[in-house]
Amino acid sequence: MNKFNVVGKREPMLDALDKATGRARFTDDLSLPGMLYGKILRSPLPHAKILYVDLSGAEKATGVKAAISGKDIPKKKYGIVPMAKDEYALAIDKVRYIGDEVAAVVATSLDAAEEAISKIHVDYEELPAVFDPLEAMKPGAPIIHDEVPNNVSATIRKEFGDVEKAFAQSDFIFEDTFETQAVNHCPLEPQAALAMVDHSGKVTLWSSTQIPFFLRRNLATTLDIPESMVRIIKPKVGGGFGQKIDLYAKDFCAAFFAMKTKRPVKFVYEREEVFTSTRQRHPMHIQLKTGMKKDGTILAQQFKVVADGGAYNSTAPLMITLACFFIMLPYRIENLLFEGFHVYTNKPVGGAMRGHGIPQVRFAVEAQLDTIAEKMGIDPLDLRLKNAFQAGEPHPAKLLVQSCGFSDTLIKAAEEIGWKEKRGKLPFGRGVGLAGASFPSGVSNMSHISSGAVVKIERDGAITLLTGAADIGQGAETVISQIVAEELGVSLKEIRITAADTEITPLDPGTFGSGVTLRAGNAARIAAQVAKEKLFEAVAEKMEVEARDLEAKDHRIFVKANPEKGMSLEEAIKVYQYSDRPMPIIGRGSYQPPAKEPTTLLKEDGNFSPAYSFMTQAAEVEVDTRTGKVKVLKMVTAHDCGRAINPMLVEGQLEGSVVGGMGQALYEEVITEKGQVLNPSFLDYGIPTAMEVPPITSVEVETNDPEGPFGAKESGEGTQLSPAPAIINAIYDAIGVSFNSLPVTPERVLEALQKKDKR
Amino acid sequence: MGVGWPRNDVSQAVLKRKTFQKGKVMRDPVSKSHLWKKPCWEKYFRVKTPGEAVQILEELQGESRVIAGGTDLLARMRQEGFGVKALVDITCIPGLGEIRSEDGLIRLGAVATPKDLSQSSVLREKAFCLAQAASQIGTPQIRNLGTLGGNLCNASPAADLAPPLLIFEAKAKIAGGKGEREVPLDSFFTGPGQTVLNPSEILKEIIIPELRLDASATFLKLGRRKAADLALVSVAVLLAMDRKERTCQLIRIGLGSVAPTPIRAKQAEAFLIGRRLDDRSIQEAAQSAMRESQPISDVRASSQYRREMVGVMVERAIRKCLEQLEGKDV
Ligand SMILES: Cc1cc2nc3c(=O)[nH]c(=O)nc-3n(C[C@H](O)[C@H](O)[C@H](O)COP(=O)(O)OP(=O)(O)OC[C@H]3O[C@@H](n4cnc5c(N)ncnc54)[C@H](O)[C@@H]3O)c2cc1C
Repeated sequence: MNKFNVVGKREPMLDALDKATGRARFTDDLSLPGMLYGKILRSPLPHAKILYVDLSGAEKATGVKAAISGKDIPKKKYGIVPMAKDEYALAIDKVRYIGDEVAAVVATSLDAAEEAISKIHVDYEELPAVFDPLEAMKPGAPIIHDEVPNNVSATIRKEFGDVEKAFAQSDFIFEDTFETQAVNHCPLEPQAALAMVDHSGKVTLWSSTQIPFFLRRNLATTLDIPESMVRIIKPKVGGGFGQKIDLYAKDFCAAFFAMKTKRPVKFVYEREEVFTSTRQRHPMHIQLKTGMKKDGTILAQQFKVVADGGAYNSTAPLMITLACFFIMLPYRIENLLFEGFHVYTNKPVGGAMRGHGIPQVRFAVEAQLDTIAEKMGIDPLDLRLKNAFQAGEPHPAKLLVQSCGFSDTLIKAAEEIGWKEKRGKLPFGRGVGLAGASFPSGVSNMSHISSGAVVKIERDGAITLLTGAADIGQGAETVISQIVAEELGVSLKEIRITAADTEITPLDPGTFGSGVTLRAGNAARIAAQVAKEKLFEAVAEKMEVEARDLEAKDHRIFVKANPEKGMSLEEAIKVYQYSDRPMPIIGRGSYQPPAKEPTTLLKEDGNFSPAYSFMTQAAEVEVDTRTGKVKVLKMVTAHDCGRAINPMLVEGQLEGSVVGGMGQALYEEVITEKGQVLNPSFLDYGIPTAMEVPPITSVEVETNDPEGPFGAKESGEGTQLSPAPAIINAIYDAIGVSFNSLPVTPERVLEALQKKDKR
Repeated sequence: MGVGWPRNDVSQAVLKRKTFQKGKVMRDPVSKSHLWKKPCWEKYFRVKTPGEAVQILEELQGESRVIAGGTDLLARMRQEGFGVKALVDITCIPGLGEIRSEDGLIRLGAVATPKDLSQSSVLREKAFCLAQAASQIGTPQIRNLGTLGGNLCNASPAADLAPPLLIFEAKAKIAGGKGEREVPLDSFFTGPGQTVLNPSEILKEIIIPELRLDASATFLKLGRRKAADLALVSVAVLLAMDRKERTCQLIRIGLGSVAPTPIRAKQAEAFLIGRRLDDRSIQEAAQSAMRESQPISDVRASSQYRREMVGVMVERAIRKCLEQLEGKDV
């Protein structure tokens, strides 16, 4: 039963019609009078000193208005994690991967800019390059950043319990090595930026970004101007998945050239540039050692994780930390040692991608659990249930898990996929598998995670909502509007939302870490409550009742106990006005997730998220044993997202996660040869299409979270963790081969089957 | 799009780079990527007759190109960064997109789109496997824009329309300065990206016979995914048998993506002809087709995998034809 009017409803996204009809305007759809078009010259070498850049040919070319190279820009490094800044907008001294930015031009047309790029001459001195992170860690390997002589730019070591002792006490020890591949986010909209400078020198940048406020700060830093001289506006964004949290050369160059030429400037990346020169999911080498007791208790786990970071840091320290922390749930592991290394190589750069460092390690753990179960003669479901963490249990690393439906999701997902009837019982070539995971609903106590909102009740009863939240296609604006509509008792169409404009809307950290609904939703709800209370005060006075006895619903304000007694919203606004109260009626909200324990993300034990979500995904697959092709027949997701503000949008996230998981498990890999990406197009790279998507069942595990707005929790990134291992485990059930590296292409399946036959 | 024979350019660039010595100073080292250019041409002619097209092509010897849907040409011009004096658009020539059936022959106009082919009632009735192949090309956009002629003249080993046309022993009708000529499709392709056409000729029409009533034909495409993908291996098979003896009366096997051009597996055909169609003979024919293929390795799959898949797909295609024939019996 839904006691709400707007929350919990399957409302179409507010911009669905605009998007379906092509009216929605993305950055590349915008243009300004006198606009110039930019193009970037990129390095064709994986590692080289830049000796000389000769721009004169480009500068003389027709239509060209300006050309720059690294020596023309402020020597200001950037990086999304302040302590790990290691990148210049244009390479200054050397290039570190094929695709690194060397120079840029702007011209009166795109053709002219492209033509001009080919007239820039660059002298390089090639340096030895390294492409394998394990090689890069060895003494004597080429040094990619002088400040990091061993190429290891971020590490984490975390231990609790007594791992050595626990292994000594284990009845069985399992050791495996896993490898994961580079995966590109493939947002449909390529990265783009449009900049304009006004007479005061203020820069306005329209950018396909998922974190406008961070971008403002990073852009101001790299341009070496005050933050107040930069305004970021986020138009419609066509997907991000983490790839749009970084500042890119296109942002810097658009702004820099706009300042230099006093004309608007636009940069749009080619699809090839999205593949070679933005970000990708870190490939990882994972050594995993697990100690088991005879009864199926996981006694100890030891991880050594080497992440291939490519040429720059991006989120390196955060990524490797998250990889570590999310391995401590959803199973009870009393003794754990995690050693993680982020290593530079002369390849495309790793960055945040849905799940951020966790899907790779999750795959290793879940795949190994199934082989352990097999070797020990235990049902993989029972093994997981036996070790499933429970709410309220003391966590060995002092995480505070107040609610945990993990066992529940295991049981429900297994039931829905037909575990009992199918696991180990289907004909050769068919199989089922499952995998679990846990994710935070935003992280508490880290800096920059406050969110603000403003709600204005207009004279005609319409509601204006300002939020900093960055909708990148997931529907954040719709969800936040629903929250405000519910709070004010109006319908969704009364809400007019303006979002993600650093000059107009309040601060918001942006779209990452699965925190938008909780953070920005709560801020908006608070703002709506404040505005509502102002109105209630006037109404209460007029009706001679207490303000706290009033309720707003169905465009009315009335006495809770006696709904007949009340007035329409319009009347209420009139009452407010005629009582000589100041107009307009505005409510402001600021929200920061509460910290229940000190956060110590890096070294010590302690809690770090207000709430943890838990989930299980199950898969059924069919393997064509002659072609090696794996067909996913069905996926089940059991995910606890608290209350779904908009169930249709939650389903969208779940479905997307299945497709992402299929890509990671079966289809996708950014293939490089000596640092050169060989498949930088949608045709060659091969993300799964709608034709590959199986029926997806999502099992309701709705709970009511005390912290989330109307009880909502995350349903964004967490859903991405377990689809891939669930598929891998289903393949194991189908053909008895457990794959330790991704993606499992038809060719690998066939090879494995042939090897198995020989044995 | 470097269809099927892709990325030679990139590996060339990589090879070249290997030869650079450490520490050597280089000016503007080569890399095809990031140097893409807008395709450019000085003139664009939209012609109304084949003769007009031929005339322009002859006048601008070698410096002009035919453009139909442009789905291959424009992508290649952009990737390779080359321009031409003129593009000659043949898609507005009246009748050049028609699909007709007369006197047991089906005539397919060169600018018929894959969508036209896949929805043609003539083909659905009389050469279904061609409609099948057309419906599996690329994406809806590509199927609406591309053409039969472009698919063949582009001469990609992965051209999906080639194998089914090969098993129909299609003839290509070519118009040039000296009039028209007919070339069997079998000898139309001369290498990856190369055909018997000289620069001032255009492909006008493809002619195939209707499928014999006692025969069946099928097309199978193995890609990494079901849509928007090029074939790793594509197979078309045409089969007729003596119903009593179950011996093979007629067999034609067309293969795509596994040799420098689309090919017929003639040894496999020769092996099977006159033989009883059973598991063993079918498997042996499939083995023979495997030996006849000479696939390459690329980012999509290794040559070894492709070769193995020739066997699997040929076997499956023959069995499917058999099933259809048995269905006809009932
Ligand atoms: C995303 C994508 C997916 C694709 N998927 C597939 C696929 O699955 N299967 C497949 O087979 N192909 C595929 N292709 C390739 C392509 O779309 C087809 O080959 C298409 O049929 C080409 O036709 P067109 O008219 O666009 O050719 P164009 O690009 O116009 O021409 C191609 C070449 O043929 C020449 N030419 C064209 N018509 C004539 C003529 N009548 N006479 C003489 N010369 C001529 C042109 O000069 C040019 O050199 C794909 C392409 C893309 C971009």
